[in-house]
Formats: sequence, C-alpha cells, structure tokens
Amino acid sequence: MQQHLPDDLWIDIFSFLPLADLCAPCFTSTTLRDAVCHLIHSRLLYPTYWWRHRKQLPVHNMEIAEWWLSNVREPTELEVLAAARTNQVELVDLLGWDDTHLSARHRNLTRFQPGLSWWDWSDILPWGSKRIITACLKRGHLTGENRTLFDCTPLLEKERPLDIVRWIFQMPVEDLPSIDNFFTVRYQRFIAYELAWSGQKEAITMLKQQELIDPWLGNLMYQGAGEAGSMDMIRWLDMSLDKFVGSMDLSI
Amino acid sequence: MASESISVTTSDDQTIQLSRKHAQMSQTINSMLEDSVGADQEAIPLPNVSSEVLKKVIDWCTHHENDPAPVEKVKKLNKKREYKAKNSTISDEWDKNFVNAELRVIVDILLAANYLDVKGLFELMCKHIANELKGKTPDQIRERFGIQDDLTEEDKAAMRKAWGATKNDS
Repeated sequence: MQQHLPDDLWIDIFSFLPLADLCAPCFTSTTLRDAVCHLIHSRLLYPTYWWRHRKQLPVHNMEIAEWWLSNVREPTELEVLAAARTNQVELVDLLGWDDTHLSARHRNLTRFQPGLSWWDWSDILPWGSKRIITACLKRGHLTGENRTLFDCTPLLEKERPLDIVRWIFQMPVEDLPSIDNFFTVRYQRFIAYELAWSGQKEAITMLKQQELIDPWLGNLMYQGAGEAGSMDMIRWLDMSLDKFVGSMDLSI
Repeated sequence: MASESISVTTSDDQTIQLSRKHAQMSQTINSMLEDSVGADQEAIPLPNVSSEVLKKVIDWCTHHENDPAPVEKVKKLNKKREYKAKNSTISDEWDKNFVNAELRVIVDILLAANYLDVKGLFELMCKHIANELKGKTPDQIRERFGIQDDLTEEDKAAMRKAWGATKNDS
C-alpha cells in the first residue's frame, strides 16, 4: 500500500481493538507503538500502572501465537483459556495443557503458589466445546483419578447445556465420546443441584423424561432452587417433579 | 429557499451534485454551507477528495440517509482500571459489502470521511481496518500497510518488558 495513514488516525483505528490486539502494533513501528501508548494512557484512570496489569496476548491463530511465543513471552492462563473458549485445540496444544513445560523463571513469575501448576486441563475443559472435550479425553486427562479436579459448571452455561447434561448422565451425545468411570453418581447429584440453582428447566425436564430423577436428586434440586432464592423454580419443581419422583421421599 | 442540491468540485476538477440531505451528513460541507449563507452559490471545493472516492461516500450516505444522527458520547475514564475497546462488529450487511474493497480504496474513503467529517462512515472504515489488524504479526502489518520498521532493539526490549508476564497474570 502506497498511501500512508496519518499518524493520528491510527489512534482512532486502535480504539476498536481489544488490549490483546494492541500488542503486535507495538512491535511494528514507532508510529504505531506511540499511537497504542497514547490510547492506553487516555483510556485508563491510572495509566502509569498499566504495565503491571494482566495483559492477554492475541490468540486468533497459530501464526500470531507463534510470533509472540518467540518474540514476547511464554503463555499465561489468560491465553490458554482464550484459546479454549474459541475451540482452538491446536493452539491449546501449542500453549500447553498445563504450565509444567514453561521455563522455571516464567513459572515462578506466574504461579500463585510455588510448586502448584497455575493451569491444567481441568481449568481448560470447562471453557471449551465438544472439540476441546474430545481432545482432552484423547490426551488421557479424563480418568477416574482426576475426577475431583473437574468443575464443569461453566459448560452448563454454554450454548448447548442439554448435550453436556446428557454426557454427564452417560447418555449418547453426537460428537462427544462417552467416558466410563469418570462421572460418579455423586457428581451427577452435584449437577442436578446446579441445574436447579441456575433454573435450567429444559435440562431438568429432559432428566425427568429419561426417568433419571430419583428422590435424592429431586431433593438436591429443591435445595439448589432454594439456595438460589428462586420461588419460581421451587413452584416449577413442585408442579413438575411429583409426576416423576412420586412420593418425593426426602428421608434418604 | 435553499436549493435542494449542492455542487462540489473534487480534486480531479469534477463538479458533482450532492443532495442537501447528503451534504448535511458531512460536518465539513455543512459548516461551509453555513459560512456561505447569502453568498453566491458557487461549487464548494473539496481539494482532498477525488470524484471516485466522493461517489463512494455518496453511496454510503444514500444507504444511511435515514439513520438517526450519531450521538456524541462523553468520554469517560474507565474506573475499573481495565482497558475497554469500542465494539468493532460491523452488523449491517450492506456495510459489510461496502468495505469489501481493496485496501487502497478503503484508506482513501477513510481519509475522505475524516476530511469531510462523516462520523458513521469514518467509524465504519476504522472498524474495518481494526478487524484487518486482528491476528496479524508485526511483519504482516508492515507489509499490508507499507510501514517501515524503525524500532530499535532497545525499543523492542522495552515493549517485551511492557507486555511481559507479571505477578498479576496469575
């Protein structure tokens, strides 16, 4: 391109970019770097401390990630989770399913507690979709001994929570591998509580139709709805569950 | 009574007729019209805009002539101390097709929108270029926008430090 943009217009253009996308322009030329600095300084209440803030680097594709891995720094949990959220398995592979492969210096800088990995598969999985879940299984993370690490509640807030509920309750789901010996009855009860707490009537209806709601599960659903302070949900459970749970024997 | 159309002269000496409605979407032309009330109605000179680009601007104005006037937002400092970018999503399908052009044309329209002070069009072009920048490495940005690398090794080291991990990343 022969026509150069006037310097001040770069600031207007950069104002549409999230912080992560301002990193590469900083390494492009003094004009672009100065425009980024000007923008950041004009947007923050305490710009002097900006350099100490959490700074996610861009994860749009492999090329940009490879660039900053070679030229800027090693990854943090911010980039790995961003890659998981956008279902980029190859990128998660590149950045790592945990932080153990990183340099000692970087680990020491980013770990909350020495010796404790700051992220691992159990942090990544809840933010990914079926592709990430499948990759996680293939890499051998979803085993019985790891089950206590895994909190899948963010998965229930994603676009297709019904599929995740079916998967946890060991029903076949398209594009999701079934796993044995991972989701225990105790875990399923925890999910039942979460479903009622977050008012997911569709998923609860599906569990009813599959005759999977025993009195204990029903009890936990009432508890979830109650602790969420949702009278609407309690009434809905009252109207819906008795047909399926029968006597609602809560003495278990 | 003011005439319904306005003549403008472009950088390539073309005289183009603009409807008053379209002319008023440009703050620059609007100000010129206000300044020339009562004077002889000569063509307004636009020495920084070619006829080709002005036609594009008119196309955009025609599509958006019934849009509500943009509201000037008061710039506030982010009290959460977190950087917040403006929304770069281009939602209008017509706009998406409009920006589907060579970068040379996009930059010309951006410069024209800036000079003519057509806020919506300027914002659209900025969004489009911002979206183009996403996911590009410094080399790719330089190549795409014809930028020279004038950063010294010290500059780059300072940027590495600035974008480096801190204890707050954890």
